[in-house]
Amino acid sequence: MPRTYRVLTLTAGLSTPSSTRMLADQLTAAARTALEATGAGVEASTIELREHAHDLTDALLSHFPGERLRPVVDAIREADAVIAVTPIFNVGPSGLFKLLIDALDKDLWRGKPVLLGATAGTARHSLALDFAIRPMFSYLRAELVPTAVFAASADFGGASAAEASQDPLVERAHRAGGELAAMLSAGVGRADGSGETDDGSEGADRDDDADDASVGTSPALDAEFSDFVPMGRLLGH
Amino acid sequence: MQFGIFTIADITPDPTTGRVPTEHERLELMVEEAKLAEQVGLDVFAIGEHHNPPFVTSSPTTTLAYIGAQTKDLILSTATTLITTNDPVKIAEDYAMLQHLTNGRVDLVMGRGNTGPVYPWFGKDIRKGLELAIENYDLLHRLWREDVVDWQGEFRTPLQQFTSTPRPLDGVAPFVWHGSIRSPQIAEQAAYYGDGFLHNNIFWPMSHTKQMVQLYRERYEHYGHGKASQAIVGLGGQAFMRKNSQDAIAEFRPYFDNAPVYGGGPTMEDFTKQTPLTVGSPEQVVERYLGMADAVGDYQRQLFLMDHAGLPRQTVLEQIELLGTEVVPVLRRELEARRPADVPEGPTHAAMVAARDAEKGAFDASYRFETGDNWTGLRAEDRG
Repeated sequence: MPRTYRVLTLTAGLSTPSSTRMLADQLTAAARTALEATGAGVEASTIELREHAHDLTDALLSHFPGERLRPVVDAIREADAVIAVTPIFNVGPSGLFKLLIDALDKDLWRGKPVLLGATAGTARHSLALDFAIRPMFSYLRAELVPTAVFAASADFGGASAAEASQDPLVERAHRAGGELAAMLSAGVGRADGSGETDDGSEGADRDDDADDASVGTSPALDAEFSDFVPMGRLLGH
Repeated sequence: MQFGIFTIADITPDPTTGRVPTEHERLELMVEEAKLAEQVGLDVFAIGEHHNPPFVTSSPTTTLAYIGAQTKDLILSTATTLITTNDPVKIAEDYAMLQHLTNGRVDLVMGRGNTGPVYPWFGKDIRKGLELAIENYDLLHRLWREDVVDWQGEFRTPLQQFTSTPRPLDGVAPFVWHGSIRSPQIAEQAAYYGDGFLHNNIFWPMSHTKQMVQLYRERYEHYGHGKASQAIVGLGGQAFMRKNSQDAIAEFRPYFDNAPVYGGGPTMEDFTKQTPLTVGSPEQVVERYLGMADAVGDYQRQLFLMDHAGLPRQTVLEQIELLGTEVVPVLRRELEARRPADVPEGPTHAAMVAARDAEKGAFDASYRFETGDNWTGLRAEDRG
């Protein structure tokens, strides 16, 4: 039975319309095309982080995601892959994008296939993606798609054809989408996801080797409690 | 069901006047709060243990003994006792002393402290918080139950033939709760020993609290202490009341907006919707807290934080009076009515003594030299 992949796109653009959103849509479409070419289904959704700017600040200060933010957390947790796109500000991701990372549980990203995208006015900012944003997701232990896609204003067609066509945006997006599809087809991130093929072994990394410590009837816990260890092991006897 | 108040005794400027209480005033207010709590019919008064400004409760047993001497029925508790940085031998001694002097009106909530630097202040390794909590409590648990203890562990010098004195009153250790907000290991620890679990949920959404309590309950049953529904659960709470709810909202807002813990964050409306903080009429507080048992099951103790964020003395005392006279009587009646017969009441020394007597027979309090020589630490057969 063909699998359906949940692809979540997070975009940190600030204006409407925004070039960040345009890149996000393009990457989503590229991922969809590549995944559908493998015979898989795609359930794509997009979240504009701008709509959650206040919720993210609240979460950072109150240490828990409020009820308007919870669907975002759940969507990230449940996604088979995340396409994350931000404008480059001052050689880094926008504050809004960083807030998303800082305010939420970092384990959300562990093993998650992530395709990165970024935008800025000119190509001079392009390496910020690889120097500032990629290392952050490496730290979060995400599974990064090798190709990260940067788009300057020129890439959207305004500037000289020569500049735009050396390695056209559409080709880079196509390559990134293909790499993401290959990763998902190879099962990358599967164990951490909770897709249809998940055999219900949520929290399977719990180590209950202590004599009597079969967690057995353990309740369904949020991922934030995944560090649960049976007492027998804690006591060391 | 037991109801009470807890305080962390923070020194916070009153945002409406700029007035800052002195340490002395803050400590006096704590004592006043406790005495009033008993007068208005509350069951429990609990204090935090903090070793850093702007808090003033570094020495809980001193404070609780002083309060104990001026009250009759009030249960004296902690919120929390640092099981990580205190020597478990000293906890065993201090709280057994307090237990005797107050005729058993003592229980404790174990916790791990509010700030990382507290570890080095007491010579402990901040990276070992959980390990310290586990090992120290395991020793404390034995010191109150075994007259003579041989012990060896990672975090303190070994004990040879050690007897912690005084022995617990009537041979029954003070009841212990384990407090944690985010660590499932602590819920597990509470379940393992059959101790209570107190989730101080005042800054957390109920969905979170519910999961932690549920984990504790299931593990409590797993370890054979009783059914999950019989596990001993406590919750935190927070309220600000005036007869007219609009008055409560208007009066509390500047305190909310400027409080160190949530100022600058969510609006008071968002926060009251998503956490147990209730700002309104006493009836609204009753309604809100009647619903807690639906989320966590019938539980044994409900504590309220009533004195933080810079609220002035007179306001704090008015709030405690409202809590005791208009909120708790209704909650007590309604929650007792819904509690199934096989779910225990809140833990008391008398009940624990009765249970022990029923199981093992009456306790003989006469001084027992034969269980360990209190001067040399040796039993007769171990000497020479």
